[in-house]
Formats: sequence, C-alpha cells, structure tokens
Amino acid sequence: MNETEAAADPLADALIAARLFTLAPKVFGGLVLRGSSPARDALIEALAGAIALRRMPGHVDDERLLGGIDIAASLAAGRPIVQKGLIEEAQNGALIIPMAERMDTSVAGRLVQALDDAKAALVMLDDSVEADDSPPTSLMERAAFRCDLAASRQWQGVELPPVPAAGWGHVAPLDDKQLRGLATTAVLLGVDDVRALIFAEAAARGAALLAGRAVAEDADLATAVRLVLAPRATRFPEFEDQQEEQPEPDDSPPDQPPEDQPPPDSNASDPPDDQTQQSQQQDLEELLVEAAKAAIPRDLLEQLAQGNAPRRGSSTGTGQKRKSGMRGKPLGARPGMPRGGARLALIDSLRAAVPWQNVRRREKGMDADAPIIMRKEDLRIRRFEERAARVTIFAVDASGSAAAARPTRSGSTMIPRISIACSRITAPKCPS
Amino acid sequence: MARFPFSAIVGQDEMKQALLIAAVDPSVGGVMVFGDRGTGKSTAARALASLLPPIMAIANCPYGCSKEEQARYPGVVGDGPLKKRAVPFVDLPLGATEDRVIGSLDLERALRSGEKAFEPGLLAKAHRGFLYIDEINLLEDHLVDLLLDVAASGENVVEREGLSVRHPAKFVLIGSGNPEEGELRPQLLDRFGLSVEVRTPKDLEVRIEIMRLVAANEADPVAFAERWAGEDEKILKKIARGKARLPKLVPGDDVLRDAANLCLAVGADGLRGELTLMRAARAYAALEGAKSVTRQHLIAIAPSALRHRLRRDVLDETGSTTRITRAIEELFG
Repeated sequence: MNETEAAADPLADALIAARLFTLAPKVFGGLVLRGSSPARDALIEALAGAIALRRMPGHVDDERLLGGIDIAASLAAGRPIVQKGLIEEAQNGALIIPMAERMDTSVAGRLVQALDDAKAALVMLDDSVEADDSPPTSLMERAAFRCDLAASRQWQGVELPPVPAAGWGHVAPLDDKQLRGLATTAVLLGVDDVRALIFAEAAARGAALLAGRAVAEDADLATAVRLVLAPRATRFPEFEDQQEEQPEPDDSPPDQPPEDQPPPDSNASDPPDDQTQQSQQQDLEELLVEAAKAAIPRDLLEQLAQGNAPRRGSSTGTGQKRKSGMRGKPLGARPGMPRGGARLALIDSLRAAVPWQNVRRREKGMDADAPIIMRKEDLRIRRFEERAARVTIFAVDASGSAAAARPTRSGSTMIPRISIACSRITAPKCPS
Repeated sequence: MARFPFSAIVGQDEMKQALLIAAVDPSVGGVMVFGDRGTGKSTAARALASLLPPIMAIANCPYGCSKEEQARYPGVVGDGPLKKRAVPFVDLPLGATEDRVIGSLDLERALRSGEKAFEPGLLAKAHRGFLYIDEINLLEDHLVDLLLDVAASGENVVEREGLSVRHPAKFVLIGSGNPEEGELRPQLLDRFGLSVEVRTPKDLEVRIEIMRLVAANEADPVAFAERWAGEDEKILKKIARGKARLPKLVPGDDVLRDAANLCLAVGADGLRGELTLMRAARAYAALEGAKSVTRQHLIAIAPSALRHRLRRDVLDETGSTTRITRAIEELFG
C-alpha cells in the first residue's frame, strides 16, 4: 500500500476535474467527490470560491427543491403565491449535496429531471465506504467526474486557479481521429453509456481551453479519459492482444500510391495516407488506454481482477427499502385518510389547508377570527421508509465438488435462490 | 436536578480528559463515548458544560451568536447588545423528530399573522455549546446523518416548508452508545474526533465512594457545590490556560512523523485520523501546560484518537485499544 501511494496524489486529478466543472457546470452535470477527507474539505472550499455553491440538505422537501406555494406570502396576499425552488436558485452555480449516498430516491428523481433539462449542476459528496455503495446510479451516470479523495494526503494550500474567460467555443470540436480514439477506449474499458463519451469529448475540449489551446491535443484527450472514462471502467482493457491483429490484414492490401510507401519519411506529406493515419490512430488509442489503465481506481481494479462486476446495482449491503406507515425514515406526507395504521401528518394537513382559509371563510361568511377550516382533501398521512434487516449467509460447502463454487462466483443464480429461501424462513416472524 | 461538579466525578479519567481536550480545542471534533449505562457519561458532559464560563452572546439572537458571527450571517442573527449566557448543553431526546432538531416553520405565527418565521430547533440551541446524544446508535439513521453533517460543517441549512434558512450551529457533539446494541456506520464514527471506552467501576471502594458523593449532593446540593467549587475552579483555569497556550504549540516534524507511523501501523487509513491525532496531542499538551508537543503526549492520546478508526480485521479479534497499545510498543518501545 505504501509503495504504490507514492504515485500522484488523487487530489491532483480532482483539481483538474473541479476546474473543468467550474468551466461549464451544466455541461458536465456533476462532480462526485468520494471519500470524506481533509483534502475534500479543502477542495470544496476552493470550489466555493470559484462558483456559487448552494447546499442541499438531505431533508429538503419537494416544495423547496422545485418551488411551490409560499405559505406565508400566500396568507398575506390571500391568493397562492409561488416561490422559487432550490434548483432554480442555484442556476448560476451548483448544488452541493452532502452525504449523497444517503439520498432519497424521490429527491434523486427530481435532480435527474433537472440534470436532463440542463437546469442543474451537482457537487455530490459521497461518503460511502463499501465498494458497492454509492449515490443513486441515475445521478452517478449523469455526473461527468468522479474522484476518490479518501486516500489523498494533501490538504494545505489547495487552490483552484481561475479558469480562462474565453468561452467554450474557442476550442475546435474534436476531429474524427480523436473522436474515434475516445470511442475505442470507451469500448475497451467496457463503458457502454454514450453519455460518458459526450462528457469525455467536452472534458477534452475543456482541458484544451484550460491549457490555452484552440485545438485539443493528445494530452487533453488523455485527461478526458483519465477523468471521465477510467472511473467508469467495467473491465480491464486488453488492448495489445485484440488490437495487434487488426493492423495486419489492413497492411496486406497496399492501395496507396507508391511514393508514400516508406512510412517514416512520409510525415512531411500534406495529406497523411491511410497507413500513417492508421498508425497515428493506433498510437493515440494506445496512449489513451495507457492513461486509462493508470487511472482506474484501485478498488475497481481489485474488483475487476476478481472477475466481479463493478459497483453498480445495490443487491448487497443494506436491505431493501420498503414503505411503512409506522416507523422508519420519514418520507413526504401524501394525501390520504388516517386509517389502517397510517397516522395523520398534522403539520402537513394544516399546511395544505392554510392557503385556502380566506377563500373558505368568505364562502361560509365567517370572520377572520374563525377557527381554521379543514376539509377532507386537506388531510395528509405520514409515510415512513424502513429497511429490511440485512441477512448474512455463510454457505459452507464441504462436498469438495467444484460445481458448488461456480454459481456463487458468478453471483447470479445461487444468491437470489438463497435469499428467496431466507425470506420464506423469516417472513412469518415479521411483525408487519 | 442540581448539576454534579465535574471535579467530583470519580474515575473515568479518559472520558474526562477527552472532554477537556474538546473544550480546549473544539476543532478536534466531537467525543464518542462507548460504554454501559450508568457510567457517568451524561453527568460528565453536563458538568463540563456548566463548568465553563458564560459566553458573550447577542441578547436577542435565537442562536446565541457572537459579535463575529453577526457579519457572517447578516439578517439571521439579532443585533442587540451583548449579554452573558451560560454555555448551552442540549440533550437530544431519542424520539426527537427531524422538525424539532433542525427547526421548522413557526406554524402558529404563520396562521395568526401570515408571517413566515423560522422556529429554531435543537441544533440552533446547541450553537457554541454541547450537543449530547445518548444511545446515538439507536437514533434514526437519517437523524444521525443530519447531525453529523451539521457538526462537520458548523452550519444548519434548512430547505423545507417554504423556508430557506442558514444559521450557524457549531457545537461539540458528544455521542454515547453501547456498540453491542447496534453499530454506527464507520463513516459516521470517523467524524468523531475522539472516542473513549467507559466501564462501570468494578472496585468496591470506588463504587461506595460514588454513592457517598451522590448522596451528599442530593442531601445538600449547595453545600456540595461549594465544597467542590475550588476543584472546579482549578479545572476551569486549566482549560483557560490550555486555550491560551494552544496557538503557541506547533508540533515538530518528529511528532508528525510519529503520528503518521502510528496510523500506518494500526491501519487507520485516511488523513483525518492523523490530523486528529496531531490536534488532540497538541490540545493535550496545552492542557498539561507543556512547552512543546512530545511523543509522550501523542502516545497518551492515541487510543482515544484512533480507536474508532481501525478497520475491523477478521483475523485479529483483539480489541482496538489493544491493537493500538501493541503498535505503540512496537514502534516506540
């Protein structure tokens, strides 16, 4: 552990990612900073100096997130008054979300919508420790950058140099060769999501802009691969074996004009022939794959080495969430009658009734001192969310047969069957 | 109930030391107390809070802000004259709702006058003081998330019920819990600066002494407090001296290297552990009135600063404290 640590501090890449993010927060959608550490705290502070960060607490409600009726203003005016939501208020900067791995799916859903409409940019702080724990996948894939700062040892003098004022448009779009390079690298890394490619393209151009170039160079592409593609890798790129076969058949039919035949000397010729193009393409791809290999997070690498699917899907870890009327983490109240175990959400019911009081009083001809008039449709019930307890299964196989080991390794067939069996065993004991 | 004097608490030296360190340098982070019931956890925390000299706070500020905070949170804090108030000590009840903790819309005022007002919660009350949570491991997960987030950021952000409020909430978080009754997630444990293990005193004489003291306090709290006032005063002076000395103490490179080596040896990964170890050693040295931070200070404080940061080793069933003392012996002899 200590030897490999000597490599560059993870903060270095995180700083580049953060600068790219500040360049165009909405283009990149999000920046995920994993691992609670002093380095991360320092980076956030630096980030707050660069763009406006608006903190989104985990207990935010829909009304404040999306905007809605402002109770007090509505009361004063006697008619519903709409107020802005947090997403809209953070228009010119980004929302910063502490403990993003604990985010409620309903909140995540709202944010996904906003991200898809390019109306929001998120800085997600991921405090999870387990490899398979992370902020909601829907948000993770919409965030261009993810940096793991848990192992960073740097925390003093963290600064984000200001980004150039020259706009995005100053950098030329990537050429075909470069696009092909990114796409090939993504395939080799097993990154299927096209969104990742779009982010990588933007990141490459952004890196060029930060370096003061008008055209993206190989180094910019490598930065994009390192920051965007490598963290999403689902397999270790096996470049040499597959790729070396391909140029061979391409070489055999030489259709090119004879004067360009010796490849090393042909560099000076204006239109690069197919072959040099091919080798340039290959050089670039090799460069990018090497960049990716070096940047694949270590825990991911370990998982890949074990032949496991990368962290995604949360079938392990804590139990399934389920709705409950009695206990657990409070969810938003919803209209309904307090019966069948559901309890009245008094505050929410009152809040639902309040804006209509003036109207209702007028309807009934009552004066302003009349008690609050509630109607059936105002009633709200409380909802909670519980997590089913975690079941750990120790399957001991003493048969010595190799067949028994196989299903557990693939992890797909045996485990669900065991869990079904277990839920059958425990189900009758459940109180609810 | 009259408060029990801090100095009259028998034994539990590690816990008392941790609390004093938190009082000298709040940046060390909160204190997590592991242990059984009836070991004087809340008594000690409460006693420390009431021992501390009153703070100067803006009289009409619901958060008890200082003059400096007025500039950072314009419009949030009051603007009245400064007034003395006791260091707040908030005991978070287990059944507390989210509304109660973070604060909520003042419904009564909203109904009566149509005014959108924020009714501060327990976090606001605890500002500049102590927030004590007994049985933190039994608290709802989402509440623990919220508390630790606020404790780390020093500010409470409320975005609900049409309210958008940001107010300072800096407090020393003191959590207690029995790990056998349910565990705190490791990333939450990591947020606590120090952790201590308390045990019920097994020594018969000590137990008798405790009963004697408690009985004396109950019989005549005033006289009892007077009897211990001198001792309490000494502790107060110690804290004040430590606070004054703290900025002058800069740990040398050798101490920093020791801290790094120790963290590496016990497998407490992350820089946070090292920083806390360094800060705690410095605060401890300041408390002891030392001229510089030495390895001895580091060793004395290491179990508290690292105990809760060790990764569980399946093959090594020895307790974390043993693992730390073993590493100390191997490293420093």
